[in-house]
Amino acid sequence: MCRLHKSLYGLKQVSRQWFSKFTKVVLAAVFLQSKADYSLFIKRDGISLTILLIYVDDILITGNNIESIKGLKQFLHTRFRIKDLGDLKLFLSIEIARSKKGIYISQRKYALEIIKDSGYLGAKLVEFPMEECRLSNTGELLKDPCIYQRLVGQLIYLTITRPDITYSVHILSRFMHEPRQPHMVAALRVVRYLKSAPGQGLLLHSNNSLHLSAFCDSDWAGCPVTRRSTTGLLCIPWKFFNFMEKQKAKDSFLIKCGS
Amino acid sequence: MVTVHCLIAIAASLNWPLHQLDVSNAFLNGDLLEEIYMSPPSGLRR
Repeated sequence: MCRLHKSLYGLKQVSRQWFSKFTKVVLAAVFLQSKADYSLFIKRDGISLTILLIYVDDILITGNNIESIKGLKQFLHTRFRIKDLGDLKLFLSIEIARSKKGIYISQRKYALEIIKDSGYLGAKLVEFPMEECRLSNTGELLKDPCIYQRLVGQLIYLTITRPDITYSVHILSRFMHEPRQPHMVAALRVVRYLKSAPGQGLLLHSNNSLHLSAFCDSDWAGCPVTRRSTTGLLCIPWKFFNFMEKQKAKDSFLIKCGS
Repeated sequence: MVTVHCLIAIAASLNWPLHQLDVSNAFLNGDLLEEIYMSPPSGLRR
C-alpha cells in the first residue's frame, strides 16, 4: 500500500482539490470570487477591470486593460503548466467568431453531430421545429428510452446558441421519464429542422448598450395533458429584441386562471 | 453557461479582448488534505 501525496486522475476528490488549489492561487492575486457564480473571478484596480472565468481546466480571460490581462497570464504561467490558446475560438463546443459587427457564437459542429447521430444527414428539411403541441401520454412506449433521452439531452445543450428551438426542446423534455413513439417523431422533426441551418447561431452586436430587458408571455391552459397554463420568460442584456440571451419556460401550477 | 454567455456579450459590446487558456494535466495539481491509500498497479517497480 502507498499513501498518496498528490491527487491523481480517477480519484473522486480530484476535481474539488484542483478547484480549491486554483481558487487559492487566484485569490492570492487579489481577485474577488463572485458569489453568484463561484467560477467567476473579478479584479478591480482603479479603472482597470480583469475578469477570469474557469470551467474545469478551460480558462477565459477578458477585461478592459490588456496589460493587466498579460500580467495575469504570466502569473498563471508561474503557477501552473498552461497552454495559451490566444483569442477565444472554441469554448465547451461553442464556436466563437469575431468581426467588427460583434461576436458570433454557434454550435455548428455539435448540431451536425446530432444530425449525423440520428442518421438524418440525407433527410428532408422542415421549416419549423414543432407543430402545435399535441403531445400527450399516449402512444407506444419506446423500447429503449435512452436513445430519446440522449437526443433530448443533446438538444438541450444546443439551445445555448439556438433559442429558436428552446420551446420545442422544453416540450420534449417533459417526456424524458417515459418517452413514447410520437415523442420520438417530434424530436426527430427538430433534428430535421436543424438540418436546414446547422450553423445558425447568435450575433452579439458590438454597438449595443448594456440594458437588461425582460419579456414574458403565457398560454392559458395550453397543455393538453394537464390543462395547466404555460408561462415563458426571457431576459436579454440588450435594449432591443434582436437576440435572446436566456430563455426560461416553465409550467405554472395554475389550473384555474382568473380572467 | 449563463455566465459564459453574459461574459461574451459584454466583451462584444465593450470591445474587450477575449483570451483562452488551457491548463494541462489540471487534475494533477491538487493537493490532498486527507489520507488516501492505494495499492500500486501490478508491474510497477520502485
